[in-house]
Amino acid sequence: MKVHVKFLAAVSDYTGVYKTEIELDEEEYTFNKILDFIREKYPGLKEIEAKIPIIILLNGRKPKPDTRVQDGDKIAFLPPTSGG
Amino acid sequence: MSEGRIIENDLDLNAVVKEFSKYSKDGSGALLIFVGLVKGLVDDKKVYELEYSAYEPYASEILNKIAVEESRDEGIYDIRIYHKIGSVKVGEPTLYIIISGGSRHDVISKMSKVVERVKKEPYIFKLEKREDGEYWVYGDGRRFRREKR
Repeated sequence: MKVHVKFLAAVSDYTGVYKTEIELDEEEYTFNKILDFIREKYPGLKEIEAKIPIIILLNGRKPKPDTRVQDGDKIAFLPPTSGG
Repeated sequence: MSEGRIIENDLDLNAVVKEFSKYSKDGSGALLIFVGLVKGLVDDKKVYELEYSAYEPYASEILNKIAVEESRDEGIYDIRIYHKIGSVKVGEPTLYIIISGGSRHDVISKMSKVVERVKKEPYIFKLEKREDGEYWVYGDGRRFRREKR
């Protein structure tokens, strides 16, 4: 399966990329398990997560840790919002 | 009809006033327009510009949700929320909120609530470029310096 990952704004400073795709062997993973893969691949994430609270979305919504992630899903790492 | 979304260009406010005048015949006596501008001075440092970005389509979805939800109250006729992204220079508009209501009391109290929601809810991000470096702005005006990596 393949998931689409975006690192928004300040987060992309710490990953070096704005978006990527992650290929995984199994057909289904929990949200938390996928996050482990992503954090391992982009160690800069831990650095910014220690600095500011990061929002992590699945298909634009805040999921539960055990939510099943499926092929084609979109994961995004966002800094706290700053509208206005 | 109430709506909210991300925009890339300035809004023609004269056209908005003209459009909203249609609500007068139904009893609307107040039109309130809020325009957020880029400040040229923060923490005694000169600001050159702000670079806004958004996580779309979700940022627009949330702006729209705020406009629709807040326009349900009695005395409110229409709410529009437009937030710019991209590079915005000092003195240029970043945010437009337009509220049509029955009276000044209706629109003034509603505006305060809508502005606060727009500051907190949509997935919009701000990089402040100023004389002493670049700063990511987050939450309620907190900042951290962008490091060269």
